[in-house]
Amino acid sequence: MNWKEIEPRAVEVKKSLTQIMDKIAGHQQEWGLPELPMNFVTSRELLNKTDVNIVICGEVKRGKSTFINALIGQDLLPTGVRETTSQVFRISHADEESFALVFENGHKESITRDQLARYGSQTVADLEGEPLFAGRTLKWIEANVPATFLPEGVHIVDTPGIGALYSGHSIITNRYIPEADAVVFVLDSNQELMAPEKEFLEKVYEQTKDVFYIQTKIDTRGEAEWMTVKEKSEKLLNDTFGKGQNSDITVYPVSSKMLFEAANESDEIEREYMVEDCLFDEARNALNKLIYRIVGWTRSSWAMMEASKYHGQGMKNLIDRQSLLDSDGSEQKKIQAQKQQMQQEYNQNWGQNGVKRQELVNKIREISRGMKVKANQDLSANGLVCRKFRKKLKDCDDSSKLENMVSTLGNDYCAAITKSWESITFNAQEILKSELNNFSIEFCNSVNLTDDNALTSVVEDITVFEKVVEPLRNGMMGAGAGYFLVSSATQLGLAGLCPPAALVAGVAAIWSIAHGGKKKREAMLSKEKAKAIDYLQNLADQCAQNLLNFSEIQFKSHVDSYVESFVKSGMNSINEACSKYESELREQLKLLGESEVEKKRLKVVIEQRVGDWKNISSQISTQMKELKVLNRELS
Amino acid sequence: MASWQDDIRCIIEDITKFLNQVETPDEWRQKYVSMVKLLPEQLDKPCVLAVAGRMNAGKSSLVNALLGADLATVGATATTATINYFRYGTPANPDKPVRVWRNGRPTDESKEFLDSLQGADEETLKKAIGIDKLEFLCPHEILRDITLVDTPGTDAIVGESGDGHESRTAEFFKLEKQLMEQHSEVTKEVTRSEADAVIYLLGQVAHVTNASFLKEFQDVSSGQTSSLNAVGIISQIDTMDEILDDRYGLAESISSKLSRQLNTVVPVSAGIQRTLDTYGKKGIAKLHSLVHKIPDDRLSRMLRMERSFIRDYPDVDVSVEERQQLLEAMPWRVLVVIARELKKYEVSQIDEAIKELHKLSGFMELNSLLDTHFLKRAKLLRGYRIVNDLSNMIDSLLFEGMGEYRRMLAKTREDRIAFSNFIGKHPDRETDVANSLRRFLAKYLPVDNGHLLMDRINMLSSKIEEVMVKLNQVNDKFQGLQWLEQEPDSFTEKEIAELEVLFGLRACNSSDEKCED
Repeated sequence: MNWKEIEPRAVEVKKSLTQIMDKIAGHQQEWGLPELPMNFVTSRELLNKTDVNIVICGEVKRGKSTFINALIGQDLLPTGVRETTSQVFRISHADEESFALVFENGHKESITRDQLARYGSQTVADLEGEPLFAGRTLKWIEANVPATFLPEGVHIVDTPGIGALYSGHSIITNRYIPEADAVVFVLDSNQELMAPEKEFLEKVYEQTKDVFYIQTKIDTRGEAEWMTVKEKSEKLLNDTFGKGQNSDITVYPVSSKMLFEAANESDEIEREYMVEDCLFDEARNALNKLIYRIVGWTRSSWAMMEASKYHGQGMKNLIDRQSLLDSDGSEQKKIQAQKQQMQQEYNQNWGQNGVKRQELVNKIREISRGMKVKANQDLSANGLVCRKFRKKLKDCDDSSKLENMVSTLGNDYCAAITKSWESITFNAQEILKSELNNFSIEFCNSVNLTDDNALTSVVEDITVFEKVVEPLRNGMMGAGAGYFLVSSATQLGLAGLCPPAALVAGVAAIWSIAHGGKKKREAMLSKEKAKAIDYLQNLADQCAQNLLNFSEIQFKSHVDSYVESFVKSGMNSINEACSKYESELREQLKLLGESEVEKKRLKVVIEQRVGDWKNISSQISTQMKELKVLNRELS
Repeated sequence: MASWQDDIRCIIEDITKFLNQVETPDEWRQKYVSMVKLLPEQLDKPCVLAVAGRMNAGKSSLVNALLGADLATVGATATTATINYFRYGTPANPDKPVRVWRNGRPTDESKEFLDSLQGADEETLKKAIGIDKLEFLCPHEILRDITLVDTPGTDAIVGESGDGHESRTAEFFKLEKQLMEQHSEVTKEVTRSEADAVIYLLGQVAHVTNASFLKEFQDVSSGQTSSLNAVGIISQIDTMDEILDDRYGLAESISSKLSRQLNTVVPVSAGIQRTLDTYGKKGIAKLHSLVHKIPDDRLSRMLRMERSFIRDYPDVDVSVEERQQLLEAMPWRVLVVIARELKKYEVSQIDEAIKELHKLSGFMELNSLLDTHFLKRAKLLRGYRIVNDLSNMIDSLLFEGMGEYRRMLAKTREDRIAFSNFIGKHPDRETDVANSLRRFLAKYLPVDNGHLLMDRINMLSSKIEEVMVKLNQVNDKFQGLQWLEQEPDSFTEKEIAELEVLFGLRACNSSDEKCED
């Protein structure tokens, strides 16, 4: 495979597809065809967006950052023997080096190469304290360095390891999965795939099927041993995720350390051996292939699918119109009367102020109100979750148990809040889905649609809705409301979780308790309890502040903005379904209302349009063929 | 003052009496008498120390290195890993050193049987599925006071069911799943109900699943002793140079993060320890001279990766076959660490070199740690476990047993009232028989509604609490002493010894006579 040769062709396909989709969009407006579905618009947008994120993730201490450093051939990212990476790093190719902090609110702040560790290394943070970002949430640390293997717009994203005892790390990593076009999952030679990794991968596969596996540190095991680990992991991966994949999942073994050492080796023969033994070339080539495939094929193929789907629908509409004009005069009268009747009924029920439509809109508002009320009930500073924790602290009758509780209180509270919020949103989505389903049935009945196509298109809209709520599209379209919630938990996770020092009773305290009388012990316990409850209240206040109150990033609270985007998605879904039917009905009635002369003229026009539309179809199939060729060459 | 052991015996006796008295319901007797009967004997048995950790963390290697014998199977697959007990003793038949328990019945098997359990085919799984546990007898001093239990690792992936892999049948997946469930059940069961203490194996950094496992262990094993019952180990420090160099720093860092769950964290390399054991001074000396045959530069290049080690070099005087043999004798990284260390010493300095290697392996530290934490406290730990069991039993009587008992009483009373009413309406109600029947019923009608039993159970419960307090005091003193020992400047050895006597700790270390009298 020669990317240099393929790239211009892939770009050509993108360009042609863009033209085709724009032509379709132009005709849609001009000819009054049904509105373009959201997927069509999104895939068209993506076609010209150049950003591609290759997200590197895996358990803590697997050697993710070291692997990336080896990949770009520089000692860039902070690495170490403890939990190191604490923030997301986004690396892109540039001829000239530059580094910056990028915040959620869009602000960008230049930093120097030496400062990378200050902002992104846990080891440094543990020594010097967590870096302060003045209340802003850091989105990622940007590093632009010469990395010629990265095509324009492709970024390598390094994430903190999952499973570390730093609660913020996993949260930050989980937050970036929705941004991933492909994931490089890093395993090492000391352990085959474990259950927590499998769980994480399940989430990844919901987002992208392009997952690439690396097994690092082959220098730390004998060859027979690391081969066994590799084979075990491959078997487990294929058993779990191999279904429906074109080829078996492969794990690529490498030694990043050897590659680095090779760079410093003076003996040429020795160096060649090392480069060969570290197996890096194989892994890098395979990864490059994946990157090229994503740049050259994945997005184009989605766009093509959407284009061809809409093309089919448009064709059907045009032919319907054509056959209307073809029928004889008396029949046309009959159809016209029928359609007018339908339009009237439609307007009554489903028009802009239709009864049914209003009913559904109210339902959605009701669900969202319920969501807000529940959020206030559960998540506020005196909410259900907080009360539950308070009771647990109050009921505790043993000071060592209390200590235990307090030591994990911050994490536990955050987890409980997140879980509670997840269940609130999940329930709301379930209710909305079932309402939309009912609506879809009623809608089809009331507008007297018998053909399957309309029904599926409504059901499709529901899936569109799900996709909108789904983080992928959210991230790409820049809405992403649901995910800000997690980011605030991160802030909590990093800043507010230190239990008051006085509560951490040392051995000295145990002595005094052991020798003190029962009364003294009880007094001490109740004093500690009061402190613990105080601490809990602080946590709860902070959490509530972050979730329910005004935020500077969005000028509304996280919960509010989620609820708002929820309502918007529901409305969009209704509007899309209605307008599709409405506009076609209007178009057809307009046709039938024209004078005989005009009808004759229109007949010619439509014939012309059908011809044009068919023309597009042949253009699509040309590109489809080219894409197939690209696919073959790229895989 | 009576020793806490006597107190426990006393309570067991009280409970036995209580269970055997006439008023106690038969169900309780059936359920608990046999269990309680075993307890006094349990009190004198070695305490059970479970070795736990993630899959592949090196549990079996650790057990082997501790016992100085290759008993536990290293590198077993997740599915066929069994739970292994190591007790004090010598096998009756040296050819059949493995005792296999199936459905509570033992059979002795040869070592080959263990090998036949290694495999991932249906046949092997079928063989593994009936096995409850394996038992090994070993005459090692350490096992006099503790029984070691090697558990199958946590966090392994449970097999997914059928997906068209032709070589694997649905039956295979069923077996695999059944086994995995059995293992995780057994691991939980052992740590929950049997282990008095745990040695927990960790990687270079702490993982959330480590924290949650330890928390659970703490919750089920008397929470009062808190972290005293668990010791953490960073195993396999030999895997990377960076880890080896910073092993104490890493131990410190994990220990501060899991300070509520783990008493302390020690870095060890079971591989180095086991190699030192099996090679002996002679073997190491031979390796030493071998290493010195290779030029410095060449050696450090050869030790980068296994592949570079077995390549043919013109300037290396050790044949490739010889090198291959070394690789077969020990894990790759163990070879690297040992070779590098030996290279630092002249051939004449072999003793210093070996001393240094022992220091690297960390086993001296581990052994002394096990001694202070578990061997010396073995009886105390056992005591905790038994009191905890008793307390759970009493709780279950109070919360489940009593409820049922009251319902039963209510039912009896209803029956009696109904019978009494029946007599009252009977045509022969004025006869002598009827009268005496009625009198009899009246006498026994207001049957005890459970107060009597309740009072007795409560009494037992508070007695158990008293013993618990006593145990806690002993434990606190232990903790205090440990603390004093860690601050060597504050007290002299003599003073510490005096304090030990003062606290009565000497009495429960190993000299049983003092405890019994």
